[in-house]
Amino acid sequence: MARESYQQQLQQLTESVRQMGAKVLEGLDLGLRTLREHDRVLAESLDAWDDQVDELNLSIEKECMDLLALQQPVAVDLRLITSVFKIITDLERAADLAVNVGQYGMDAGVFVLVSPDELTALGEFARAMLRDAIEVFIAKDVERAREIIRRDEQMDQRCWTLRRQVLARLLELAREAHSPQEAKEFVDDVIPVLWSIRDLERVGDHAVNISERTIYLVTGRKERKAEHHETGY
Amino acid sequence: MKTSIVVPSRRQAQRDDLSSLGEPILQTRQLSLWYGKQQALDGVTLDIPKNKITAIIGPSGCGKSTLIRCFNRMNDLIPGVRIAGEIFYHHKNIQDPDVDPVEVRRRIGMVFQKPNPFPKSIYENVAFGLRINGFQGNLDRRVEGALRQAALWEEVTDYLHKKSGLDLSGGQQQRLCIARTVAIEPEVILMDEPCSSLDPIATAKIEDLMLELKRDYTVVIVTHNMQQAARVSDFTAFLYLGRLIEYGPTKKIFENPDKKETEDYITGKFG
Repeated sequence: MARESYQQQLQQLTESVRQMGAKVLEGLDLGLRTLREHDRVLAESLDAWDDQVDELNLSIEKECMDLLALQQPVAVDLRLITSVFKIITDLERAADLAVNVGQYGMDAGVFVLVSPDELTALGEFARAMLRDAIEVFIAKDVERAREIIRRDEQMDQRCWTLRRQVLARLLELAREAHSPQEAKEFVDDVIPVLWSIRDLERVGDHAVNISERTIYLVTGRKERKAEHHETGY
Repeated sequence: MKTSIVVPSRRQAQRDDLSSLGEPILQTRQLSLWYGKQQALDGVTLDIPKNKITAIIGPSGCGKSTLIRCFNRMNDLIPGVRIAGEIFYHHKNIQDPDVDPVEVRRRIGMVFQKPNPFPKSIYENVAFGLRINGFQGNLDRRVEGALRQAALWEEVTDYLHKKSGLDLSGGQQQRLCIARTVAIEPEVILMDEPCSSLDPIATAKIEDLMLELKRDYTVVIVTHNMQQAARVSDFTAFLYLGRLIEYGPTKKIFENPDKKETEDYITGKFG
């Protein structure tokens, strides 16, 4: 094969994304554990972990820049590099969301409104989407990428259902509150819960972005999320 | 008796181009060519659009130069060449016995890999083709116009009669050859690796010039430099082992080609 060194650099780029993806999944686990266990030490360890993800992001970005500047990639190679550029941004943002989720777990009132099992189950669903999206990118598997995009509809539905449960529970608790002050505390508790749900939903959205990029990488065609969703949104 | 090819005037051609963008000026149909027993082209069918730059790429020996030499019957000059299939210029088969190859070459000019100015003054280099074609108009004006079109006028205006074409730099010599070609107002300019012997600055000037020239001419360029094909051309044809593997808009070829052979070649996996 001609341009062996170049081909090795392209393979290394995919390997770097795999490493960054593994690091982000590790942090997402940490964030979910922090949420579930309400563990301050774990929550504090998230910052150092996030710095490592940022460093990986910058390092892969430089790999992409070097390839663009020195190798003038075209066709599938160009699509790989532009896809990696976008995918590492999705991974870096997913990592930021994992940090957020851990920090929301420090709020004592979170589980007054939602059970730890329900919130962590949502987190596990989002994590599985992200894990699969990274695997699919490595394997360049278009059919599985489409399946992940379709799975996001379930994610959105789960988030919607959980939000309704949280708000129903809030109304119930507010009605039973013994004082306006107690009712206000329940309202304060709802904010980190809703943000947790929102951030986990966004982790799923980043998994969708990565899957869409994988389809583009393989086919050269950009498929919109709506093309895969029965409800068309 | 040989007859001239009937082609529209430049002005008419430009009007046609505005009204029917994408009209082919050159076409091949199942074009095959043999040098003796060795086949160089194998059933090539493609349309070259007017006032566009079409690049022909492919590894050495794939038939790129052979193909563009077919467009102005330069292969007629090579002993042992046999051609099958058709080559149309304005829908006229240029291999028909009533077609004069000299007239074809007047309409379809060529710039070669290595600049080949005559050992004459800059002025005479450009005027040469006009003189042998019996040009009766204002020669000075035509020479100036050609040198301006070739983006060389400003650099040579003080030395038109004093300097030989051979005294110019490589890049200037190639632009002089382009001026010599455009002086006789062809419709098509074939360029066979026009920048392969030039440095990056001279190459950039020729590339800028090509983009200027396509307003008035159809340009077909053979190049080994894929970045050059990507930078300057509107359409790209990929040839391999004498066959046309893929032909389409340059963006499509370089961003998302349909054929695996094309992708493997342009990404450097073979060739």
